[in-house]
Amino acid sequence: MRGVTDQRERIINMDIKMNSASETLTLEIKGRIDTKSAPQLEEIIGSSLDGVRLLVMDFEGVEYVSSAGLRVLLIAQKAMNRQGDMKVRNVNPDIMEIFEVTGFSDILTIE
Amino acid sequence: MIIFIQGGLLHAFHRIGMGAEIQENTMDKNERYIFESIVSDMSDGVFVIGFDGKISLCNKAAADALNTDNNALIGKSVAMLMDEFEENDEFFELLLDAVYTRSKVIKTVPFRTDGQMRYLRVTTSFLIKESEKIALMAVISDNTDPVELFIRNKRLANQVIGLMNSFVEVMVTETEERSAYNADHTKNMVRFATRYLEWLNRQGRLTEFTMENTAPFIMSIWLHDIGKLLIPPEIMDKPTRLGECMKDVSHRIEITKLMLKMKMMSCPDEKEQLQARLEEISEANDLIKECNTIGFLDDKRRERLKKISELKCITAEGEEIPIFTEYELESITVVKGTLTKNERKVVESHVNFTRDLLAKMEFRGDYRNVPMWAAGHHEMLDGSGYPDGISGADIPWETRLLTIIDIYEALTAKDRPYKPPVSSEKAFAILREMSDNGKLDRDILASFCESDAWRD
Repeated sequence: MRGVTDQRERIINMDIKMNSASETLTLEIKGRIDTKSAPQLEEIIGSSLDGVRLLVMDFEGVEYVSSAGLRVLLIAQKAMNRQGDMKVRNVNPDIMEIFEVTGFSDILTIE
Repeated sequence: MIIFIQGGLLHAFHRIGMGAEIQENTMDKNERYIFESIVSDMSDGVFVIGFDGKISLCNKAAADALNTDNNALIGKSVAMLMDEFEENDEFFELLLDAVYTRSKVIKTVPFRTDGQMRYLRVTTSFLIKESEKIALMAVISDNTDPVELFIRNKRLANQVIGLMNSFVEVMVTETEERSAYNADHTKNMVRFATRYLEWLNRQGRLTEFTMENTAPFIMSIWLHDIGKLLIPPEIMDKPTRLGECMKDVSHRIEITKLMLKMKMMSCPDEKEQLQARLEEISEANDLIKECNTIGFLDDKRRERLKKISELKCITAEGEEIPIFTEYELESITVVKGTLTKNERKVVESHVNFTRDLLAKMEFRGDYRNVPMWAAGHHEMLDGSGYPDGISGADIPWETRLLTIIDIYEALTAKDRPYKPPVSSEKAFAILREMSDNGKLDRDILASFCESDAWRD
């Protein structure tokens, strides 16, 4: 038996629920924020921040963040620095470790 | 050499693999000097990120590889570097991978700065000591030259392969088009095979191949009938049982009829007898014409042909000769198809010629099996095929597939001289019967049928 190729099409394994209350936007993110799904998250954030003073990212359901995911967090943090605050909540230990070793724990407000 | 170092540096040094025997202790000034000298003089770049997320150690080679100043890196976090080097997420991904997998990750990644692309070979480790997380370490070497050389070589190799593919394609297509019959046989097979492999790939079922591997297989299809170049066209494309000899037979009969009619005029006494002979020869003529183009010869017709073979024709010189030559009789009484035993052997020998011709060409690497796949397309799983009569596991997957596609195309071809085309349903019924009889691979046949790759 020779080598088995993977399915070429990778499936986006991320789900986002948006809650907007007055000037607070909460994004409940589930799944993996990777190269495939990060652009989707970036687009949602990019198009939803009008008039938002507090952006809350609930990471309870997030299993994995790739460098592309970190970059979106960086972009979101920069945007919110100009218009209010951003908080990241319920980060699991694996991802917390990533935040710490990459210095994102210094940039983000993690609750 | 014994070096005393502490904390992250202990592990960093250990993992670098300098061969030093390490004892944990407080590093004194001299030892630190030695350690820092080694690291700073290494040709590989090294940087260490402490668990506070800041770069705590970095040598000049690392800074050079990242096209920056090493003082500019100390104290920075990955987050800050990500901000600085915007297009290099593959590089940062490697650092994350080491943390996620908690193991060493080695990879060559592109790194872009100032509009330049470099290729860095990076080894990253996530360092843990006594379940305490210590640091993330990266060892970097600039691999740009070897990678660029590899890319250039690959491009050249692709050009050569592209040239070879197009050459084979053009030559085979042109050669086949010289024949009035089934000019698109190989082209159609390539189309079916390409579609089938694409279908397998879409299904995630391309277990027999990797995608890079399909080009040699397609090449073997292009070349499978190359040996037919050496088969005389009058045999290769023999459209009827008598072929070119039909003219001779007709001519012989027409002369005989004329001779009989003339004789009837000059010898009125023998008119009745001559008339009977004329009718006999006319009936024979009709039978020969009918049988000449028939696909399958039943026993009844075969007997009638044998009987008329005893008839005599008359030459213009008045000489009595047999209606058929030996060869003509053998040809017209063939049970199936148009070829005599000898002619069939000659046609079958095309696979030997394919093998001989391809053996003279150099096929290497991924292409090394092309001659074997191509020359084996008339072998059957039960050993009843030719030229070698190999069976079962000795026939590779590629040859089994080629054989099935070859037969399917031959059966359904619309311009074969010696038999009418059959429908796809009928063709698959014939193929299935062959697989039931142990000749063809049942699974490959079912999969090929399911793929619809054979549809026009």
